[in-house]
Amino acid sequence: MHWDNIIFFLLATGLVSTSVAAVSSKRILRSAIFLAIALLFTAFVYLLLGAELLAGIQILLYAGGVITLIIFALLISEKLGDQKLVETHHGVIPALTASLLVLFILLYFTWSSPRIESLSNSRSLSEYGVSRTLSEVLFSTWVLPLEILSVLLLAAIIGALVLARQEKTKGEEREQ
Amino acid sequence: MFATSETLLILVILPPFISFALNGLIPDLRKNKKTSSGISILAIVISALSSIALVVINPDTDIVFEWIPLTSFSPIIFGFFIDPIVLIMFLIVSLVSLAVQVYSLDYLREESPLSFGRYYTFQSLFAFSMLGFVASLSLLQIYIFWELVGLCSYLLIGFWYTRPEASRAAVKAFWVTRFGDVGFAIGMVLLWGATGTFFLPELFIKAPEISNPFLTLSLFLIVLGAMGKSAQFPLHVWLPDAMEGPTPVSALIHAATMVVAGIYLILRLFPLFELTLDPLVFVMWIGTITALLGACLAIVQNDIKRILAYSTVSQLGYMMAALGAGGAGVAYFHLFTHAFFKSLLFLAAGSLIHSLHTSDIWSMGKLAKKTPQVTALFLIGSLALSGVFPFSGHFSKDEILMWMHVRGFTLHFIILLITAFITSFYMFRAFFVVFFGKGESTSGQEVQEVKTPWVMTLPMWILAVITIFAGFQAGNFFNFLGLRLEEVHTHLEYLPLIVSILGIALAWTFYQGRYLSSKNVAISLSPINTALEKKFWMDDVYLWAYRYVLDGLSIVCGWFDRYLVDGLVNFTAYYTKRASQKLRTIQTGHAQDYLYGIIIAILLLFFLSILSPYLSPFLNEKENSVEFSEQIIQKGLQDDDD
Amino acid sequence: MSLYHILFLSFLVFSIGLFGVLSRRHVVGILIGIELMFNAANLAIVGIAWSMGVLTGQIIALFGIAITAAEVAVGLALFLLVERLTNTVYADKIDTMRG
Repeated sequence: MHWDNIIFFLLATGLVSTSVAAVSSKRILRSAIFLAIALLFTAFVYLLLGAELLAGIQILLYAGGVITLIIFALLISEKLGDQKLVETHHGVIPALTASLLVLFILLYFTWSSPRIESLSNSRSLSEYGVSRTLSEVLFSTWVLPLEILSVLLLAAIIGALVLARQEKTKGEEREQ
Repeated sequence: MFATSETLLILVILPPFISFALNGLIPDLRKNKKTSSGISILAIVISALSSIALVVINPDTDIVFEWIPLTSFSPIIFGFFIDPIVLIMFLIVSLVSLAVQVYSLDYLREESPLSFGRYYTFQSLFAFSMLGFVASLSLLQIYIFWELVGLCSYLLIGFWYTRPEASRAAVKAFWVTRFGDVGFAIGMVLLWGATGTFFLPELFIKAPEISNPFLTLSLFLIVLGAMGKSAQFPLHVWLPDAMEGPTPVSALIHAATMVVAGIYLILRLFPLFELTLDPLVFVMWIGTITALLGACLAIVQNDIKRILAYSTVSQLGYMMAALGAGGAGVAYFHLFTHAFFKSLLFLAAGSLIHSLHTSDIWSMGKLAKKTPQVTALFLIGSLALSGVFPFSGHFSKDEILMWMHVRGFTLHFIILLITAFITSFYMFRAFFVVFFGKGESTSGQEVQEVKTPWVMTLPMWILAVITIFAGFQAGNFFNFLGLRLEEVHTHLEYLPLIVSILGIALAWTFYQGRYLSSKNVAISLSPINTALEKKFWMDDVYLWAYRYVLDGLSIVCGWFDRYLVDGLVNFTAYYTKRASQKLRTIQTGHAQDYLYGIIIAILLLFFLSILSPYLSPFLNEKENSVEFSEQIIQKGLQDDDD
Repeated sequence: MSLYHILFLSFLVFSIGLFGVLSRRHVVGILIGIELMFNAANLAIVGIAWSMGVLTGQIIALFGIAITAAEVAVGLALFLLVERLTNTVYADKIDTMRG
């Protein structure tokens, strides 16, 4: 067994277990932390696949930014709403059935597709995922989507601001 | 040479449109009397000069362009062309327009700048539409300009729209002519359906292939349009009412130009009419009846403009009758002379109405001494209309009558001869009463002074000169059209002239010499008199038809709409509502339940894709969907690799 | 370690995320499930791109992450707003759209 296989299986185990923990934890704050750890594991899988830049961004943006946001929102909600963050599930059986069905469908198509089989033993990984190449492609071929994406992010920021501000004025009205 | 004649053609048609656009779009120009009338008159002067230049050159040219050019399908072709017939019409329209527009400077002096500008804007639009109509190369284009002149007529009849009679007359004119236009539109589309083209030269080539009954039907419908526009019986009722508009408008639109559009249309489509004779016979009868009817009705009118209007109806009947008898050339010659002498008569009458503020002939009277100039002009016009020798009307009317006689339409010839007698009688009845009468009805008031500034008299004198000399140009006229003037010598040659003079004499006996009392005659012929005064109850019949037939139809349509159409809609709506009442329970409002919906859909798609190889005989589908999508991915990746 | 392994891992995480989305009551819990699903999709894309030896997959994943960040920002703002308006954090209590 090759060493990166061992690492992959370790990472996979960690990813799956933290994911399960993230969706099943009774405390929502805790499941946010588990999500962060799951995302970190994913970042390591990316590293294993030779995508260093992506791994870095995954840690920075996802595990850093997004999780911080979630935790922040939770804390605000807890503080303002004065509600305990005890999380319960509902409809576990249908949810489980549906998820398993979807998993089955996905796997069925993957394993019945000749295309994926041909992919899985096709090419080697020489010089793949070098950050420099990625950046060059990103700022030449993909520069238009990149710029559009920046506009989207701006729109999201403004949108979030507007929503938050409305919420604040409503709160003030209620206080009066 | 070729280029210059095309330029001249554009110079004839386009300036009035530019004037209309300028006056119509720029309020500052329209609100100023000097600019609005100046632009309009300048434009029509350019048109008139270009027309005269074109008549001198007499080129044979056209401008053709395709609308929505397609390769596979015959496109709609628009275009303008020139031939002698068009040129003469150009001359009539531009010259009479010019005369009328100059005349209107004084006639509408008292109008506010705004309505004055409006008047000249409409005048320019009318000139453009009429010139465009005349030179149109395609039936569809003819129809567009045809409706445009109708619109101008409506707008100008209703020029004093604050007067209820004027607006009612405008609406009446619009409705009656529209009734005919429906026929024209259907006939036009039928022709298009048979030949696949609106383009006139192509239409004439393909027309012989059309089956005869079909062609006859289409032409009957087109004649219906011409009857509406040219005020032929039984669609003549709008023209007398159209006299509610300003008199110069009556002179231009309802005497010289627009009302002859129907004649012109039949003239233009004459190659089609020659293929099937039934519509022409119909046209001849209609024209003859209209001529007699119009003349009879003119006898009992007391309003000078209405007398002239009925005389127009009657003269248009002459033209129609000549057309129906196959005499396109003589009909056109009468159209030409009539345009000038009738607009002269209208303008002369207008100058009286303008000064006296009445159009009742009995309240005029004794005007010969006050205004010898107008008397002379009106006399010239009346003599021309009556067909007395040196004046143009004599020649053209003579041509028509002789044509009927020589072609053997004796009955029509006699009716038209009687009409000629009545024509001279009613014209001189009006003449004697207006200029030599006592002015009885003026309730003691002395008739006011008639003011005739040069802007009014100059156009009239120009028209009078044309009226006097145009008749002698008959030979040149027919040469210009490429026709030969038939020299007819029969023992009936002088009959029309004798009849006319007899008519004048009779009018003199009644109204000037007073050897006979018109009132006694009216009493002794009271049934006829009543019938005439009631206009043969034509208006009442139309009113009845309008009130009961149309209303009845509306009630039936309303019932149909209310109970059947609405019922169907309500029925559908009711069951849609009930179904949605039941279906709404699916909407739980919980976001997660909708996700289950998506998952169920994915499941269904999955089963479909698995089962599709087995279902394919039923689905009639050649491709296995999974394989098909694989192929698409394969192809995409190949493109990616490239 | 082959593409099959990566895809299997990705699908597993995806299904776990789906389970979370379907069964969680707390709005943020649902959001966490969605993040997991997103993450799994990214992983699958990167894995396929890796086995094909092309960079495009990484770039798509990169864009996906950025879009997710935007989505989370708006989503959380909505969460706070909804909580203010309805006074609850549980998705099954929010049913103003019920027919």
